[in-house]
Amino acid sequence: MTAKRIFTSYSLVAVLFTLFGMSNALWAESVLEKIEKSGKVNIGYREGAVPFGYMNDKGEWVGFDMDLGTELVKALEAKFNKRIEHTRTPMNPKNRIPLVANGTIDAGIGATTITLEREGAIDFSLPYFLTGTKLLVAKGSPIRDYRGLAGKKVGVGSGSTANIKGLQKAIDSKMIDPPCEMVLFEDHTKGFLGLQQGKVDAYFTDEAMLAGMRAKAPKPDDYEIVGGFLTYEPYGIILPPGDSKWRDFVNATLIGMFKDGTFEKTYNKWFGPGGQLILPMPEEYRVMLKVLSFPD
Amino acid sequence: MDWNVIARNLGFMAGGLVLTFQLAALAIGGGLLLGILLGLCRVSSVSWIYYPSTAYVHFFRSQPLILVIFWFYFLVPILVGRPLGAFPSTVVAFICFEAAYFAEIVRGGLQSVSRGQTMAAYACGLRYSQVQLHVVIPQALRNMVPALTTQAVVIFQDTSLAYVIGLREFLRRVNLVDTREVRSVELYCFAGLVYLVLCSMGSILARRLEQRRGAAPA
Amino acid sequence: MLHYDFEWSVLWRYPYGGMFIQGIWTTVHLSLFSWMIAILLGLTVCLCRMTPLRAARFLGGAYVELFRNIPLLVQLFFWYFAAPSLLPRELELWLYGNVKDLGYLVAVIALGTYTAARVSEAIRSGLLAVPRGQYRAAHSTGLSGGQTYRHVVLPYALRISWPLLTTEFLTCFKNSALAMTIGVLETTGTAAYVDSFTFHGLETTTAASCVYLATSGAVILTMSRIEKRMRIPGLIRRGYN
Repeated sequence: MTAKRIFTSYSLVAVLFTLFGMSNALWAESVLEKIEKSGKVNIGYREGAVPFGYMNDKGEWVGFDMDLGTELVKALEAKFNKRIEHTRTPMNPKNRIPLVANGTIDAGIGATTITLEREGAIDFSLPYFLTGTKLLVAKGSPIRDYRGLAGKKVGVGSGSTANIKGLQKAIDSKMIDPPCEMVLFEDHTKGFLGLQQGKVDAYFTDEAMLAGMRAKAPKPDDYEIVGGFLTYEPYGIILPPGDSKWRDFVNATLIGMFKDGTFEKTYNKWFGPGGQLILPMPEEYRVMLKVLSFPD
Repeated sequence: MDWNVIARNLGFMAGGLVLTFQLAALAIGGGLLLGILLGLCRVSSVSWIYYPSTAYVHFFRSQPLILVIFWFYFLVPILVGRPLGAFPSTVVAFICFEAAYFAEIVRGGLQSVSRGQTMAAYACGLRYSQVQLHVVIPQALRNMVPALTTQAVVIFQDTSLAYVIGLREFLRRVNLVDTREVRSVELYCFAGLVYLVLCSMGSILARRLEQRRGAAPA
Repeated sequence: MLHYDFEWSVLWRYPYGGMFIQGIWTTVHLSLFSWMIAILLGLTVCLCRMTPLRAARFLGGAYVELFRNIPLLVQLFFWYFAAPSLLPRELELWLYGNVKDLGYLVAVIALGTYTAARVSEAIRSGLLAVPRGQYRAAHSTGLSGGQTYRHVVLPYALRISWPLLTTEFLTCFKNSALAMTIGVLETTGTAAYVDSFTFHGLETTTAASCVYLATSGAVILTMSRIEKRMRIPGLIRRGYN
């Protein structure tokens, strides 16, 4: 193998690469038209976010978000008056935005906090869930609040950028001093596994998910949620950018659910008494839903 | 230790094994076809055939498979304007990646056929295509079989990387069970054992073939 | 092409530029440390397989079979999720409490032990390729067993193994990307991590691809230079006739 050959080969790769990059193919039509034409919709869900989307003990993929998705598909079927095939694609905090941006999934319902920065890459529906960040620790842990994290190991979901930034802000403002070490996990359930094994001293994310993971643990009473809300996290459905037809449809479906009580029924199925975990709807969440119940 | 966890979730995990086998079969089949084509290009003396194929092989052999999988799942759809979906994009990534490795095996096999054979065939009046089809490729294939079998085992192991984009193959399912049951030791020992048994069968086959080739008069 | 605004500055802009440098540096030392383990362990395993001792041969063979027939990702998960739980609970907790970056440590061990099996095979094939006549000739000139290895067999075998070892090193280098699955921010992991903040995956992944391309190009060139310089005149390399 001579140097010249390698060089020639590599420069060819570079040329091909550039050509490939410049090829301007088709512009995407509205997702709504695509769904009508193909009769298929591809929605992304989490598989490590109890109870939004997770694997239950029978190995079935279920969750609050998946029920919302099913309602969305029902609305699509009513609109087009035909059966719509519902493909469920797994996504995690790190890949959910790229998957929507590149068109692999038509919508991502996966406990995603609406942030202005994310708005730059994709679009959000109206918020449908409101929670805030807290800490999950082993029962009797010396960590009682964020100050207690000083010098400890804290698990966070890699890609849960809203969480990471919130924690970083607390470190920068000397609230956590000396700084804690952030350990990244692919998804929250993996982080909770790390907490159960002792790899991290605390796991940091949204309370609804902490409560969900705790409820599903082999020994729920060994863990407790501590601290106040460090940040507020409103969740929205992630949608492809610049497709207002599709976004309007998703929003209208959500508003319809807020108004006719379907949403509250679904909420109670997962978070209400007798649900997977008990998390009564906080007052501000109730107000948010009321505000969003726009008239027809 | 609670080995019941495996019995409890056996059905779920076995379902992943089906996907693993599908992925491996498609990757091996597709990769081999593309690999033979590339291998033939790699021994070509025509420069516009030789250089692009060499570039292709070098490029893919320099990349980690995990990155190639990312390319096809997340970025190629942006470039071509059409999403492929999780399974098809993984299959395409595997075929493109493994073809580069197959190509080198094929090239080695083609070069292992001595020049004398080719010259003798030409001297008999055969055309290029006839020489390749009747003289070179049959001998080369025989020489390549053990290496191809070994590569097939490697690909079978590589399918576990589909884990990274959330495709529910065997390892992903084991991992999902673990996050729920918190039984890492039992589950990963089990996963290791399953791969060990399956891949050992392949490795033993490769060794048998190698021995048979060694015993046959060259 | 879908609508996409290229913004290459994510590769050097604060704080992402620093992350990339750190990621590339992590890939480099992660693969170098693993490679050291692989060479030492691989040599040991290989020697075990060549001794007349039956038990040692069996152990060496079992090691290679075990580590070659289980996917690296499974091994990585085993070391990360399962192995610490096999230790006594106090030691396990000490490990979690005092090791700064467990994922990195696990990645070095997993990659090192995995590559060792392959290195051992590469060295062994070199040793087996040395014709028996060489051993006999060395013995008949009065060299001891150690001297035979030192002056006759190893110089031969290493030259034969050299290209194989280069390939294995590059494989080790590329395999280090798997460490991202256990939270190590090496080159591939950093590309995905920066993507999750900036949504510019096309640029970050291209950068990562270029890093691997450039490194393997550089390694292949250097190694083939060394190989050429070390070549013994008259010794025909196998596989090229």
